[in-house]
Amino acid sequence: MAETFENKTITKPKTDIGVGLRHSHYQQALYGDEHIDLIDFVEVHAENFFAKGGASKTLLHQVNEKFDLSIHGTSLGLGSQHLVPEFVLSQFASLIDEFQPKLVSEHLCFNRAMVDGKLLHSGDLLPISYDKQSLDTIVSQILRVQDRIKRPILIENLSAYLQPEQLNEQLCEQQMQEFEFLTLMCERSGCGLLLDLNNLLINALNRHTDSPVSYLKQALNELPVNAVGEIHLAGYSTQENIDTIIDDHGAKVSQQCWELFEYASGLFNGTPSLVEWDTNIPSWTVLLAEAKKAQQIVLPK
Amino acid sequence: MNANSRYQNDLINFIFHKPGSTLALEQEPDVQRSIDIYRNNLFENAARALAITFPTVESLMGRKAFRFLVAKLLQTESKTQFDWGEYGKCFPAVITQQDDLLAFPYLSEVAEYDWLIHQAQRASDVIPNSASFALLQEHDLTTLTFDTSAAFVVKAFWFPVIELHRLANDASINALEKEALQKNTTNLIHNAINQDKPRSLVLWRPDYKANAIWLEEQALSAFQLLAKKANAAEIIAEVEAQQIDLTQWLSQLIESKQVVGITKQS
Repeated sequence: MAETFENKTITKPKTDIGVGLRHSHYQQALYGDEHIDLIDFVEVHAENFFAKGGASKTLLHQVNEKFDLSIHGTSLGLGSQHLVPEFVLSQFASLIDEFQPKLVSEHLCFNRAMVDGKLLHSGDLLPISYDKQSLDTIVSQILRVQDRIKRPILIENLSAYLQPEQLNEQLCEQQMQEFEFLTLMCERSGCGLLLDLNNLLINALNRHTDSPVSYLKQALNELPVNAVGEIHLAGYSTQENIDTIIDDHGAKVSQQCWELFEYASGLFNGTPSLVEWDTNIPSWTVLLAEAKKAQQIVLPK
Repeated sequence: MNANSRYQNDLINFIFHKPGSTLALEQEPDVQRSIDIYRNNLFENAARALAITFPTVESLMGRKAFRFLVAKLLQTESKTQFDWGEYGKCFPAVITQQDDLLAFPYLSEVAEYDWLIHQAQRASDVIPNSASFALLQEHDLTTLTFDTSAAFVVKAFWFPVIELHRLANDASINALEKEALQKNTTNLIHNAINQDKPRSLVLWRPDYKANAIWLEEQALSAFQLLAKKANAAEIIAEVEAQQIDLTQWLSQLIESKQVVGITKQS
């Protein structure tokens, strides 16, 4: 078992702090100075820059002149049994090649299947099974992507509203634990982990885990420290009268997520950390305030 | 088909409401609830993306009615695209099929126009080559073609789509201008119903923003040849046949960056 954080004396290197940059932020981000000393990098979604021409890439070059970039893919669906089509991989690789971002990431998910002779794409991040066949699939796709982009990729853990074995009983007996799967995936492919703390929390809350923060702190100790290449923090909107929390990344980082981040940032020293806010987009000022909180947690004491 | 393929096919089937999955969901309320979340995610992602692609339609219809149409589109046009920016081509046809929208006969064309603008904003860039105009002096005109701007297209519409788009999207027009434009647009919509043929516009993207203007009847045939990449001799002959001042016509096209150079065909 890995050594727990409490037993270590840690010298903390500087941790880069980032925020998810959205369309409504561009003006202030490019022409303001509020961000100075607060953020080191920004994240954009790869698919927003897949257009063949037009303003989007010019804008991204302007952003890149001011900030380091993290390019976060949402459409490769590397865990899909129907493999990534070449034209999609080409677009992704071309974007990475043009911008040479600081970080490149995707998700541990599938998103498409062949139905009635048509390849349907869900436009969502769907959970994959944690079994050997699924591991083989995603490892081979990660290797394929890394070979094309000529660098390692980070893979983000997912929030999920069902477990695959609920739809196919054949998968029941074959399941590994999530972190076991993630660790093997990293070992076999050489990829890194993008550890989304909010997604871990959402899953624990939806599964009615007792003391979810304590549970997750223990679980994080099982992850190989060197495998974690980035940390994501986010919040979720208040939802009334429903049993399941929807992971909308649409609010300030929750108190539980901050608590988990304080622990994780000690365990995974110096790991770039990003505040995500994907819906109900806040003002640039509000987003920077979240970044400041993150910065205060990771600053050497 | 292995167990993972079966599971992934089933989940996609359920999300898109397609028949043929292997599980009867009514026996699994927890699973049904999860599927409903993914179905709702699909809908909300579609609504967000289509509001960007069809801003004029959303503005004219209002959010609630627009979302109803999004649901109809998802039933009609399967999402096979990886990029939401490429989804929605069938939206004009879906609008045409709605009996409730018969009172808004222009809406389908507005959707077509929104789609054209959206595709134009994403089209490959074209690099101007002003030095290439010298080729007009040096070579047989039948071997030359005019290079047009990105997304250059000529299209016919019955309704005043340019005006409707401007009303919905141009934040720079003041209240007085808006009132005048609204009045003019309303007249044009009424007149459209009595027209015997549609009007044509030319759309192009010189830099980052798409432009469009209505074409005079006299110039239409020349623009159509330009869009078809006819050779320079053919286009010039048509311009002269229509008794249009060639120098003035070509100067306007170059100044507005509709034409950005000349290519010699091999």
